[in-house]
Amino acid sequence: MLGERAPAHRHSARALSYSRVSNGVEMSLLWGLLVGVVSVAAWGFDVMPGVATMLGVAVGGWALVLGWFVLLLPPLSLRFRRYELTDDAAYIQHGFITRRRTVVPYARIQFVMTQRGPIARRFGLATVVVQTSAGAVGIPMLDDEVAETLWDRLSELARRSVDDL
Amino acid sequence: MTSEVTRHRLPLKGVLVMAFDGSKAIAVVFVFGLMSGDAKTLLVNALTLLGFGVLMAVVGFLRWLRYEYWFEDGEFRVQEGLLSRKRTFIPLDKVQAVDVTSGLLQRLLGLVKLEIKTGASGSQATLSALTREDAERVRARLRPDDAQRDQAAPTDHTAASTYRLTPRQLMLAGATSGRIGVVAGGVAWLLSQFDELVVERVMQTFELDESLDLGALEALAQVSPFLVAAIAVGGLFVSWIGAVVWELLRYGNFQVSLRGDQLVVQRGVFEQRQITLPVKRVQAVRYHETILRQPFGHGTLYVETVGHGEEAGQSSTTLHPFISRAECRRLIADLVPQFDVPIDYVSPPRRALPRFFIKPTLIVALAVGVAAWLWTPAMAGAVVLPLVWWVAYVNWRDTGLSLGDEVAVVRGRHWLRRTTAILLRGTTQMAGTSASIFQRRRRLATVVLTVATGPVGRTFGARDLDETQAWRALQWVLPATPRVSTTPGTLPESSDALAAAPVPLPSRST
Repeated sequence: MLGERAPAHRHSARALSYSRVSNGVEMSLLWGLLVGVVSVAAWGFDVMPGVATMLGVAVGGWALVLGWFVLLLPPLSLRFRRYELTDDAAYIQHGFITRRRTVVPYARIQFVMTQRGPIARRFGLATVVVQTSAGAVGIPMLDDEVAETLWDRLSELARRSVDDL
Repeated sequence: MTSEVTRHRLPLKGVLVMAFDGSKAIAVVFVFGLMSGDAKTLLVNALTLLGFGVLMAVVGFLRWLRYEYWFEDGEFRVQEGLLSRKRTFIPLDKVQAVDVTSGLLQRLLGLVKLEIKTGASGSQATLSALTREDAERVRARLRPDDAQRDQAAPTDHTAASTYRLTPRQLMLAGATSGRIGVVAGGVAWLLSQFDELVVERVMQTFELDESLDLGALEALAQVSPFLVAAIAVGGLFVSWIGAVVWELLRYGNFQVSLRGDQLVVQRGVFEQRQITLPVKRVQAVRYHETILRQPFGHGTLYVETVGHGEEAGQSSTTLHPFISRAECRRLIADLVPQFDVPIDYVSPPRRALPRFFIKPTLIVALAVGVAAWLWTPAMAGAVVLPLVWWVAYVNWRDTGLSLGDEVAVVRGRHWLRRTTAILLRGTTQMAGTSASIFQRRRRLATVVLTVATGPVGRTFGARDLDETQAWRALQWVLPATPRVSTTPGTLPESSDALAAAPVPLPSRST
């Protein structure tokens, strides 16, 4: 029975360094944005603290954010990121704190696509996205060749599965 | 099909509909603008309104002039647009439903509105002003079967499978609709318009210190706090009456029935609506019982479809606004029989019970804590805790999942509303489980089933079930007989840096 076991296949070997880099970039940008907004608000409400305090909070916070999202989280969450194509459905698992498992029957798949972000391209990685008429599910951090094979196979399976309604 | 093509215009009265369509909201704002202010602003407002009216009339006329519809090459075609031309071609065999309704404006002019619905949410057409005869003619060509059936047996749908609201039910539906919040907002806004006036009067009458800059309520509070309380209670009562009237107007003349393979919902006193839904497009059925309605043993029944929504862009339709659980089962068996199944719930186990208490208790504790820190007597707010615990217990008791061969039933509660959803295996798009660290420690998992409705689908969940029971949902969504056979393991397993790590199976701390 599905659910008793986790999906069989894992992400690419390069996924760890990739997710460290992309998390680092994304979170740094977000942190920068947050610091910017808060500074402007503080300036607007005239509650600007000293330059040293602000720099300290900004840099200290950034270090904390990077520590969690770059050092600790990627290996933990990658341990649980898995996928498998069973007889009837794509079976996907992800999540470290909350573990989610999703089953998408091939017969419900409308189309399959691959996505490559700018950072993922540098690492030769791709995401396969399975689209149903009620939203999409992604299988990220696959080697390019694996993504191609998967895309090919899923498209074929989706075509061959006749909707039973 | 005839070879010559006649293009039709809407009747001349349609100019008025065209003029008002889409500017209703602005008109209302302007009328409200007229009601306030001194003589000079009143004049300015009146002139603006007049200018606006003229503009609306001109635009309406031009839009009417540009609006044409006709049949050609087995398609129904509409051409419209003032600045940019828009053409809509609908192949006749793609037409799934034709609704003839009349809004307030149409009824004043003796016209009707005709809506054409196709399977997709994309190409649809609305002819907002037609004479009844024209509408019937258009409908007869779009859906010959419907027109014939209606002609053969126009009273066919008054049979046992028509559901209506008794006056008593309608009143109860209004009284428990929970729309009081929305209406109260409106009433408060209206009252705030007279704020200055009230302040002035109160100050004069009770000779208060005019140098104080007070709002109306503050000024009244100076006179008597009881007056403020009385106004608040009175305002709430008025809002409640308003909510009842709203609901009466919305669901007066309600009836739902099955005509051929289509569900037909009719409702409304002034603005009469008719919603037609092909039965086979119904993805899920949803029964809502709010805390206000549960004591009366009643709830609201919705159907989820792809496209075909009650309002444009929506995909849920009220199938019955106020129906008891027993009658609900009868209605489902009559109108959407594919959803009529025996229900056998699996409920969260006893070890899940604490989880239902923790979050609400923490939220209340935090809220009361913060409030008490600001104002010590707010500590009394802790008296709601037993109530919150009772809701938590009921939530635990009510949560359930029933997996049949073809149909699943998911029941859950969000705070004060219990939702029972019935889903078909054949149209459930995804099945999922999620389990947080805390859930895994107790071997629990939450089930989430997704159906296609609206742009991103709608999910129904049952939380904190025994994990083996939850996993059954993952299996349930698969076709009963495999449609394709694949050889497992044909995909290259990517070698990875963490290969040495043990295969992560769900943790089982016993």
